[in-house]
Amino acid sequence: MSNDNKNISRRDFVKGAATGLVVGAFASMGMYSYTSSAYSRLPKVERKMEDFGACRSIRVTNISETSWFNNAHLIGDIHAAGGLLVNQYTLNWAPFANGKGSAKGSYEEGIGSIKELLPHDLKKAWELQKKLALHPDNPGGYSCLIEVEALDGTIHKYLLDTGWSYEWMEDSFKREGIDKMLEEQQIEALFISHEHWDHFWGLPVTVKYDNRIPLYVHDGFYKEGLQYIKDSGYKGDLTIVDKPITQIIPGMALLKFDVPIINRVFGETSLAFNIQGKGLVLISGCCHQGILKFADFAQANLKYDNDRFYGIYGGLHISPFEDWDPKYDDLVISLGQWNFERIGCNHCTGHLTAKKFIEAGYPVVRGSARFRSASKDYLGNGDKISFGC
Amino acid sequence: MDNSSVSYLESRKLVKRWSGPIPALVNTIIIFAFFYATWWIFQDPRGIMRMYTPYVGYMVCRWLLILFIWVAYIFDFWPFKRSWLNKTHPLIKGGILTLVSVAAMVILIKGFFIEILGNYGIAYFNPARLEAMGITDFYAIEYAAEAIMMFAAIASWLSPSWVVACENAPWQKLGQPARGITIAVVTFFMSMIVYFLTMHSHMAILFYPWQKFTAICPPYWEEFANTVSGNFHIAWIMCCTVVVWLFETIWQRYPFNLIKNNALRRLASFFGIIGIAVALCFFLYYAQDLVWGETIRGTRRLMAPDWRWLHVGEMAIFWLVPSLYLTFYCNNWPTKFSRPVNVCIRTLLTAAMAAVVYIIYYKTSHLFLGTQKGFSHPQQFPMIPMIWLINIFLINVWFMDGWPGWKAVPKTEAELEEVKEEIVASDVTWTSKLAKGLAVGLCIGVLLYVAIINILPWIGANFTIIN
Amino acid sequence: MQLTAVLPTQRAASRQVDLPEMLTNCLLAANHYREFKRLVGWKGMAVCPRAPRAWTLKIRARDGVFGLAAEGGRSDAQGQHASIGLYYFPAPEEPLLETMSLAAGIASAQPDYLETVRRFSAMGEWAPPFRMGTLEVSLAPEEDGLLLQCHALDRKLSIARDGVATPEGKWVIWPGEAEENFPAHEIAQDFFLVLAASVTRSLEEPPCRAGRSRTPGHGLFYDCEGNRSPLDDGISLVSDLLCWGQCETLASLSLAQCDITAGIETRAGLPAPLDDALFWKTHDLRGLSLDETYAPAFDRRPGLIVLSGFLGAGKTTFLNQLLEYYTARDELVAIIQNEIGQTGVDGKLLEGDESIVELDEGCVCCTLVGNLSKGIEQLKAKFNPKVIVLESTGLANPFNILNELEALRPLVRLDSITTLVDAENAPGLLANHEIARNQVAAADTILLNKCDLVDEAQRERLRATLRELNSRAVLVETEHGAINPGYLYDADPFEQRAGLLPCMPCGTRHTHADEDFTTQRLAFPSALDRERLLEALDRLPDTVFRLKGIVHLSDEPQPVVVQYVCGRHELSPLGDAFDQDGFLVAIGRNMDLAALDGMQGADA
Repeated sequence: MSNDNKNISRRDFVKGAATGLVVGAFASMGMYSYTSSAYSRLPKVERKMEDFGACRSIRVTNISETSWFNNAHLIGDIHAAGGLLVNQYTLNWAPFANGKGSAKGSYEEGIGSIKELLPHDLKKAWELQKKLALHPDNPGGYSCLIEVEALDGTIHKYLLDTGWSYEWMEDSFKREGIDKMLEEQQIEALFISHEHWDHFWGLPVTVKYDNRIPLYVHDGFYKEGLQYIKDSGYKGDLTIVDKPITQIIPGMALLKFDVPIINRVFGETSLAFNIQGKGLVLISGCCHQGILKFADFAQANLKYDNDRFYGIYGGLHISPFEDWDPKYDDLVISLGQWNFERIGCNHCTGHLTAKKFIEAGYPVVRGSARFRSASKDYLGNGDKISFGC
Repeated sequence: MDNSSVSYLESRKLVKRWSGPIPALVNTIIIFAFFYATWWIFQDPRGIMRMYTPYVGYMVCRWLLILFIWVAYIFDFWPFKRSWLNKTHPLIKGGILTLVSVAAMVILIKGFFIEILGNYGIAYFNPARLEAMGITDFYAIEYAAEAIMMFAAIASWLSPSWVVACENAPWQKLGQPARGITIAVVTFFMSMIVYFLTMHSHMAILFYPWQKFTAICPPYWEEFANTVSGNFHIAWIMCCTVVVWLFETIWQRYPFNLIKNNALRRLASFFGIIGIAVALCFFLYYAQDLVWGETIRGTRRLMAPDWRWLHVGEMAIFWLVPSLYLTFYCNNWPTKFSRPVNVCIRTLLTAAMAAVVYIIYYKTSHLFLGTQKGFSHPQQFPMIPMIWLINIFLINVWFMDGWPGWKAVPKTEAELEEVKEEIVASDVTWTSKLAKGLAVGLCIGVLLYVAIINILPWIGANFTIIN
Repeated sequence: MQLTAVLPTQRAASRQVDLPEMLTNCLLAANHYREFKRLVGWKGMAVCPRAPRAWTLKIRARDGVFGLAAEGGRSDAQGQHASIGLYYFPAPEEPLLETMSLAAGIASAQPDYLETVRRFSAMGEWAPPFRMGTLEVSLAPEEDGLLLQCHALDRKLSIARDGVATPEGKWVIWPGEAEENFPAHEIAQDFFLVLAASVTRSLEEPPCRAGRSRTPGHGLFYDCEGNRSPLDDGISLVSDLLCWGQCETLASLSLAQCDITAGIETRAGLPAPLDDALFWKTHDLRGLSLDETYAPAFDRRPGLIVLSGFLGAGKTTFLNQLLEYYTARDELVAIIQNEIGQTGVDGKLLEGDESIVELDEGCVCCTLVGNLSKGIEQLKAKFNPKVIVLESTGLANPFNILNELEALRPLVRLDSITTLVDAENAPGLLANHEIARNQVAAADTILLNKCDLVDEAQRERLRATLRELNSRAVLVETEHGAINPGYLYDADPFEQRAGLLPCMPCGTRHTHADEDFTTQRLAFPSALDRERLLEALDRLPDTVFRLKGIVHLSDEPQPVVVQYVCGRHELSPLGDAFDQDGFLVAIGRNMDLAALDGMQGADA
């Protein structure tokens, strides 16, 4: 072989290698990059994707979000009684007051004074309790009506929470026509988000109009709470929720969270909806589990349309896991991570937090600040919000 | 053979007016100055016309690109005479040709899309109609601009593909304007079909409720692409646009020009470009997942699959800029080795340069372009400034013969012959050594790829481009 | 064993208990007690979002962030068990990092290090260099016993046989030198003590047994080939063990392996700090409160924040943040306010007006201390607040109050004197008004507000000026008064803070009259014309420092809040009904208010 030939063959080899390098790189890009085996190399977060059906739309009517009218009095009473871990039934607030003053209340004595009057003569019962209680004019209540439109167009109505003051809640129920719905047994269930005074103690008001309404409570309810359900004259079917996810109808599920809450309350249940073609809507009473945990749990466990978080409604409590970095505006930042398309917040969210949401450019639905609601920055008493229609 | 039988761009040769790197330097400085001035006038959100909304600006620069391709490649500068092209001062030529392109673009966008299509066919092309139906004015304009822009995006892949890959077949024998009109109409028609198959559903799901009766929603690609957004198509179509130009410039139509049979060569080039583009598209998507973690559907911005697909297109465009620069202003360096080696070196070099441009862009663009900081900010659309810059390259090289650093001289008889022969290359022939080399090269290529995907997660964990 | 605070009361006996969740519930429930929080130095916890189950948290003992990652559970005849990875991510400047692996060093140098820490469990191979040990928790089948163990090496050691070099050939780690060598057990123990104290607090009983065992552990020897070999260097694996409830059944196996065990009576024999740790005592906070060592944690006095700042520096905005912060945590803030001028405008602008007691005897700083302490006594009796904010008027000199604060010590804990400085107008004010200078000099915390209105150079100059006046205060820059109050008033009595009382300047006491400030109140019974009002505001002379009030405008159904500071004005809707006449209060020196006067009663 002559040198020329050697050179030529060597040049051929180089030509081939140069071509091969580019071709090989492109070929492996095309054949491997977007394949399941390529993705099996990446660290995984397992998602359960539980399918709980879908509904067409939901409409939430805010019956009342003003749980109490003066924060200072409420917090003052709690601290006077000894702080955030005092059993709520001993705080001496209506309807479990006994006139003995701060931290000396008891469930038995309180209910004893009004038991005969429940659930028929609530007016008298509340008047009686007001004489015994601390800050008797402070109670309001939290309650909302949820109307779910199923895929076949039928409307299902549910109540989330039943408020606190008998007086205030009766007025609120009448204002929104809830009393009629209950009397006609149109409302299919009452969910109690947690055992706190402002969500649960108004139970007789619901029972007065419909004493057989199916009732769902968290399995963290204490014996006083369960006794109160009986003492309110409730005759229906009580479900103690003990599973993390309970499907109610297609597209609607009850999620259970086990968190300790102030004043000896344990656990919160919240609702999740899958709206067809839209995505997930979360509705909570107070969200004591923290919005981050709520959304995280839904994302890790549920399957919903578009895989998108669509809406949220309710009190958005600051997370129980107080953030370790004070610079980190916990609630505002963590809500932002989820990119909701409609946010309806109120109750324990805080006006400034709602303002911060608006400043951060979140799609907060404004309210009309009627019936003693304090701010237009969020959905007040009597305001409505719809998701998916 | 005279030089009127080849296109104007092939009939001329650009020669440097001065030796060494001076021409490239001078042109670069002038181009950047011109870029920044025009950017400020037309695009910059702080400037005068503020088209960077971003979609209006995006629509304009995509359509300009298309018009330049039509004027230079498809219509071969018709109706301007060859003699005029040869004689006129580059500055005047550039000005007139650019203005003609802009006028044609305005007629197309305003006349054809908004007034005709938007009033008598498809409502979403006309922002005024959208607004009348209750969409806010900002979104009305953005949506309409997005739809019109997508047409251009598809056409900017198909039109040059017809010239570069299909060699104008079967109309290469026609004179102008017959050939230009034919190819423009054919590619426009094909773009229309591709548009309906890829973007129409995307437009339909932008509105609520989804326009189920008018488009297929959710679209067929949802499962595969993990998103309903048409950005998935933007990803591979942008890659196609980029690969067409790589194939034409730094690859010198290698390796498909080795095929002697005309029909086979043209088909292989056309579909080869698509294949390479899809491979690039998948890789760029996967690379993002390796660096930033897997996407989470239902989120927005950085972690969202739809944004990641869009970013594939953005990254591809970052590769096009150094490639065109290398061809236009560095005489397609290197040229001293055999063609395959040149191509390989250029490919690796431009890819590395693309990464550099990418990093510099994201680190600094918000400081002077009026864009917003962050990869996925809705007001950060790197395709716009990049294509704007490419448009200026094209004006300079196609319309102004590379003025001031270069001037056009007619090619000699011999050089014209070379152009003819260049259509089928004969510098690489099949030998056993070549096959060996190919096998070794393939292995190296695969290893290179494996190395890159293994290094990316580490880069993601240890480097931040944007603080 | 009382599990009601951490598990649902109505739970079915057979159901699987989520043990990691139960432990975090122990931490949450225990830290509802303010006293407990202070005892253990609890700083907060966060869930890792979008990541496998994990939590990050911070305690006083260390500057960095601890991480817990749930790792898996099993059930057997002994009960249910779960293990949890325990991580510690040092603060970026912590010296400990020098002794940790290169990977940890590189990771902590990244600008988004803390953001990554928040999601550490999703980061794959990123987190292991920070691992300190493993926690194991077991619950007896009858739920009558709980066992908590912490396993960690007393020294985590790995040695690079061939060293680690940079590409330039510089040694990062010399051959044979240790790449990582840090006391993992000591770090893990800091958290373990807090966790155990929380469990004791939530179960309301002390552990029945505690024990510790040491088994031989080993370090790691590796070379550039990637060969790894164990290295015995006297390292041992330390396991601390605690059990609550019926320990006989549950922990017999584990206890048998312990080198040393003890119950509550015999605990003196345990090695420190197990022998006298808080977890023996936290079930009974009342008993603990009698112990002098822990007195600061049981300080029940409300904190006092003195808020000062020249007119219009943004005190009201900041105060609103403060209210929101504490209310969200179910804490109460009481505000003692006083404004020069006859109408307390700010009272109208703040939410929850009933919690505000306005002292109408002029300026707190100039009144007698008797009155202030009486006001505070009243507040405490009525509301039991956690924090009292003394919002002094913009023209008050905080030095006047320092003498009096000492007398308040039995009533309140002096937390901070916070001064807000308006970045835009400060240079002029500081030059011309001694009161403004004094406000800065007296502060512990200076909030440089409205930073968005000045450029970096101006800020730099201003910082220097403020430092000259007061070099010991914490200086924080804000915009719109937006800062998380937790950042400023993270009151931890066990942490040494700079002395509160700055040295007193020589000088006599001031009253406002010294600087001839006057206030004028203008009433507007009828609605005003917007244009005319704006024009009048634009024409105000610069002797008017501050103007605020509520007016009715003819083109606006809502009442409008007028705020004016040194030439800049702002109108914003009140967002509330206001059925009195409109009014404006002006504060300044030798003011000429003709322009505004002209509008009084003018028909719009």
